[in-house]
Amino acid sequence: MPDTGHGPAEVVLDVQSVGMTVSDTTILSDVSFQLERGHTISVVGPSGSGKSTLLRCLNRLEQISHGSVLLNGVRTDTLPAPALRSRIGLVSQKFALFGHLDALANVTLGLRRTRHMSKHGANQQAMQWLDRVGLAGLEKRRPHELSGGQQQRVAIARAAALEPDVLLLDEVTSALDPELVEEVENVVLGLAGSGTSLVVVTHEIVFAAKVADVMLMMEDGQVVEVGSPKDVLASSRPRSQRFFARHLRGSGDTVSEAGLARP
Amino acid sequence: MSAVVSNLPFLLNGFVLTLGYAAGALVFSMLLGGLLGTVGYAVHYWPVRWALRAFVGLFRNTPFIVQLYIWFFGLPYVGVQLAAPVAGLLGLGLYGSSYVTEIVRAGLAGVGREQEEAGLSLGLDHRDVIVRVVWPQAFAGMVPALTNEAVALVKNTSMLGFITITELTLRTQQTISSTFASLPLYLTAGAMYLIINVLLTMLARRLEKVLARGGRGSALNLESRTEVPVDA
Ligand SMILES: Nc1ncnc2c1ncn2[C@@H]1O[C@H](COP(=O)(O)OP(=O)(O)OP(=O)(O)O)[C@@H](O)[C@H]1O
Ligand SMILES: [Mg+2]
Repeated sequence: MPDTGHGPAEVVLDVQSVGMTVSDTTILSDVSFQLERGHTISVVGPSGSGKSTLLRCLNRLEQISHGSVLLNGVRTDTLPAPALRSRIGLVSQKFALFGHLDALANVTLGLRRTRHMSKHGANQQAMQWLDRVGLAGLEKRRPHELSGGQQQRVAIARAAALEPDVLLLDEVTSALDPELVEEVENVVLGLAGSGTSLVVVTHEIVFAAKVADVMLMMEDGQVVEVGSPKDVLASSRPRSQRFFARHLRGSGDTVSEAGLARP
Repeated sequence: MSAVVSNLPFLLNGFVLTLGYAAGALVFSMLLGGLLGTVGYAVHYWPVRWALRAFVGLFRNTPFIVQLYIWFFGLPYVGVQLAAPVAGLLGLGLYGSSYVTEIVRAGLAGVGREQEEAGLSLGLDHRDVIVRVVWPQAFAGMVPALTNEAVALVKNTSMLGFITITELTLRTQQTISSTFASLPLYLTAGAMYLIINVLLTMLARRLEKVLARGGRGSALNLESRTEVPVDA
């Protein structure tokens, strides 16, 4: 869908055999994948398989021990961390909005401080993004005056407003009440459809299949499946099958439905 | 009673001096403690941590009066004679700073790693994260403890008389030694300290309320006072 069809696809994020070890415990090993500009990769896998750690490594909240990460062909470890982080945004499960600031100021802070925008310019851009995530009119609310879904949408707007090259989303719906999941998923689908390059970690297999061009499955810090959502869901690997079956049962969907959900 | 009335101007002069020392030392403590507490929170380099821990440990675990004696009567032993007002302010200020350092460090740490990481992952540098994310959220929580500190500081000024500063308590003693009206005079002095500290506490309560309300009223919440463009 986001593929423009003009010439060869451009790789925006190139992850080359990344490993992460903390005091003799290997948390990630030999993780490699490429994200094309405007595409979405979804990452699924059991709890503790290293999905969050992977995103934190990409955003450099954690230090990688092996391998390298290239952003637009440039090794990210050659960039100052703040500059890199404003190019590779991260939204986590716990949205952690700044409690002392209203929704608008949550979004403008990054624009003002990392993009050095004028107050007026930052306000305008922030308002546009709040509008895009369906929060127009709530910009003066402070985090505690917003629902979980609204807070998470502010968090997404806050990261997306910087227009990073890549946006990493770590289980952005898992802390939400079930009835609030959809509004946030729709925002993510909107971003994916409008050409933002995304890496989406999620427990919702159906959503992972629906949003992504490439689906990646992790286990014990390693990538065990990678391919189109349809192919990955149809994997014959027993452990993968069990994982998908378990995660789809709860949602009332089947593997084939999830696979077909994407045109 | 007449002993109080006839000596009131003398006592009030002492009261003004007490207020001056308290205010000076309060500013000193808040600034130095605020700075050291922030450094303690932000810097993980071990010699710095160690030095701060030593500072806090040393000043918090020894009696204030001993510290005061060291500054005024102890330093001449090594050839340094501080004027009484300097020794007094330094003594009160450093003693207060050691407490404020710990209050500030703990307050900043209490905001939590999530907020810090949310700031960092937007591309803010450490300075911005501390100044714009952590401090504004930590401050409201520090106010009660800082108020206690300010109250303690006002009371500690009463020991400055031991190093010849003619503050309220010393003047009260002097008046008693000539009039022998001990109880009325002590009660008068006590009332004066009480008035300052009650006022101080009330002021702090107000500040707490304003900060808790946050948003519009908060002096710290500058970012949210931005005007929303109508055309956006
Ligand atoms: N800083 C760290 N030090 C030690 N172990 C860590 C650290 N960070 C993560 N781990 C461990 O690494 C493993 C992967 O954790 P991670 O949070 O990345 O998994 P996950 O796939 O995101 O799990 P979940 O689906 O529950 O969010 C876990 O076993 C975790 O305990
Ligand atoms: Mg996780």
